[in-house]
Amino acid sequence: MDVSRYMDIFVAESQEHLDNLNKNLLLLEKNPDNKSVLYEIFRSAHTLKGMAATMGLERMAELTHEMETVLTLLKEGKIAVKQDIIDLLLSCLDDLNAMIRGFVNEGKEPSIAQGLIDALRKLSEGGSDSSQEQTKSSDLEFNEYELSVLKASKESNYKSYHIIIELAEGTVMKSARAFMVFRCLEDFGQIIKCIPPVQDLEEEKFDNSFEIFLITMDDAEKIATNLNNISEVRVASITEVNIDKSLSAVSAAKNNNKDDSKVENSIISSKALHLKTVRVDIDRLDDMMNLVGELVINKTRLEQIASGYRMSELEEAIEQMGRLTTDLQSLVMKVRMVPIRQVFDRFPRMVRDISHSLQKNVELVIEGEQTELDRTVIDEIGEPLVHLIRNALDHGIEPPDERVAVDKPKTALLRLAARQEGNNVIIEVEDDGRGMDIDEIRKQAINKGFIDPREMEHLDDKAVLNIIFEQGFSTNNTVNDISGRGIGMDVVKSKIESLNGTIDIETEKGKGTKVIINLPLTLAIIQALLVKVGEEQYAIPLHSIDETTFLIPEQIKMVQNHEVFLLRDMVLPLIRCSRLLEVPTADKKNSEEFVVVVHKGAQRLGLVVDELVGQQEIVIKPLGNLLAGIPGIAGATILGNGQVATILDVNSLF
Amino acid sequence: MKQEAGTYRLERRQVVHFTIGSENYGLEVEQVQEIIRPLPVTRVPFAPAFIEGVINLRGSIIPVIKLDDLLGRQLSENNGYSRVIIAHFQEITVGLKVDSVKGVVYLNIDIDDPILKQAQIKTRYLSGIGKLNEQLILLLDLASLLEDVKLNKQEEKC
Repeated sequence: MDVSRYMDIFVAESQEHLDNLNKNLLLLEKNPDNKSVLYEIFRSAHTLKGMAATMGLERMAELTHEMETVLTLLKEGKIAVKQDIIDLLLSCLDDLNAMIRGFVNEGKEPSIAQGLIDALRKLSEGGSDSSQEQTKSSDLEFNEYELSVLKASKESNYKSYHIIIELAEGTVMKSARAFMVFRCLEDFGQIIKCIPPVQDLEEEKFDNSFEIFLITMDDAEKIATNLNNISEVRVASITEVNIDKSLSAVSAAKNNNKDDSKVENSIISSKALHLKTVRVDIDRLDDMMNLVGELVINKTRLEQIASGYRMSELEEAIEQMGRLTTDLQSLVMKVRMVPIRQVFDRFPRMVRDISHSLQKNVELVIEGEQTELDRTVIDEIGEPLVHLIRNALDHGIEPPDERVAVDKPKTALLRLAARQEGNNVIIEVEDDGRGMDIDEIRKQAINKGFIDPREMEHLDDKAVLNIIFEQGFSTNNTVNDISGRGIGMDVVKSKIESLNGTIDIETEKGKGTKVIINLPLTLAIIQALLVKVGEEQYAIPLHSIDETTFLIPEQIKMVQNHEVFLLRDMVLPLIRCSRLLEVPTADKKNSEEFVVVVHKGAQRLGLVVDELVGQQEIVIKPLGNLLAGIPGIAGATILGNGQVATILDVNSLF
Repeated sequence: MKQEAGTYRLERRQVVHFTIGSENYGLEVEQVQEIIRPLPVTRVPFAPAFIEGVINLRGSIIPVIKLDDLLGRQLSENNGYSRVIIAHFQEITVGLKVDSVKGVVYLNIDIDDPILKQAQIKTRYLSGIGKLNEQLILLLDLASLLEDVKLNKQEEKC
């Protein structure tokens, strides 16, 4: 079978299931008694197995199968949820992830470490034979009503059975089979409980087995024979319920049930949400965005034409159209928005793993994960955040004993928060660790030759903090696995700047550090200043412009053969766009020079242009495969008159 | 595949027939998206040689290649017949400026014509040769042409 065309769907969906598994496994680790989370995990693993088998990924299917076996044992209470099991399952997820990636990149399934499969097998074999006795009662959790029924029935000599039903592999109408089982059992007595709940059974939200608690006068054998007569149904086990044991577990169970129902509700509500959504190919959204961009351009064009005619009717119609286009534009932008949860979701696992390996106690608090960002930004923001979180865990947060020594709570707090402010999104990474030592940074910066000692005296604390964004700067003297190679912060900064964002640090020694990232909601439409150089028009993104000014020739000085000028006591280099861009018709002598002052981080320079045309909202268009990646050019845009103007990439001028 | 001396390997293909200077060229119809009248071209600074600039084709930005330079020909002065052929190959769409487009014709293309191998004509961007009435039509090899433009870009980057 040619499965390649299902590839995209397979990758997207399996990724979703892996994320889901990741999240729920961590939830289970905190909450080992939570059955509904376990069910959710089981369901995801099972679906993954099915998908892998369909795509012909045998190893992946094998691994998920072994995971499923272990999960079944967990579900049936035959083995307890323990740290090492969670660890094992999590590393299986890593392997699955690697397999999917390998499959995508190389078109064939990479081989996996047999070790994981063996470990899973050992676990499942060990689990199923050693703990037979303690098994049954451990997962019988009844609510008070069910217990009172059980108690009453015991007093009147009824027997209670715990029946596990298995449906044949590949049963088509599972709910119908379940219904037949119920009908059959109702002849014998009363069903007091079933797992999963009846509603799920009706909606076929279960795998091939379910459990029933029955109160009856008849004996087990008779019931089993009757059930086995139903086609595709098999009784896996039928055991008498030990009510006394269950009674003793009731108080614990009561607490758990509360948690259960909460989680269950949230799972159900998240499912309801899914039904309202449609999966759309991202290319189509891009196309849509393009078309709307077109419309915006045409609207501008119409406005220009109409201004020449002074027809009030025409103007009204165009105004109306303008409003509609603006609405449409903001709607399409919204459609492209993705909650930042997609990025944040991977961090609980990462923080857990890293803090374990560093032997630090860290609690991760995530806020505002529903904050939405354009998909293009979402794709890029993950990597810098990983850097920042690693930094916080490694450098920021102290080991537990050090924290206790300075009267801080043993468990450190790492806060990851996102929120929208106007047309920007603010992301904060904050820890309550040791903070940065400004004096130490000053010392290191001088020692490592980043800054001249005399110059250092003039720098305020904020400017000093900016040094850590310099390439190769690290105050950590030892290099380890997690960070400290001095390649972190400059990469973070340049990434954020390439997204048209800014990054700031607030820190207090002994109290903690807060990194604040400010990002635009979208990259597709930006405000820009249009300038003319010779006869050519160029767009300069507004976010990298400080100001515009003009100079008379006397204000331009020469330093080492380079033109510079003074802007309020600052000496800035001057670049002539006509020469830089090799504009053919330019280089005429102006009595005044228009200068656009642009910045990259703290650096600034002046660009000489011939004319300032005006500020305008522009739609960024890619230059296409043939021209992509030309340094100095960030893309192109189409002006109101249909002409193309190129967008200058200011960052590359420095 | 080896061919015996003296035999021609003929393939029948549908091509767009166009001229640059006095030369007749053809481009397979599968590679032609559309033919438009010339649009204003915006120069792109730092662009590789052989790229004249970009045009706005109904909202898409399309690079225009200096086909005449690549083929070592000279476009005639604007005579009102000049056109831009929008061609695409794999993921790349480009515009090719030509002096005139004559039409779409069926040609018997000889892909091993000895004329091509004798270096009389710059064979680099040609994949075959065909006869239409008494005219020779040179079949353009878009793939190798774009390959060279791209290579040029990489060289400039380094």
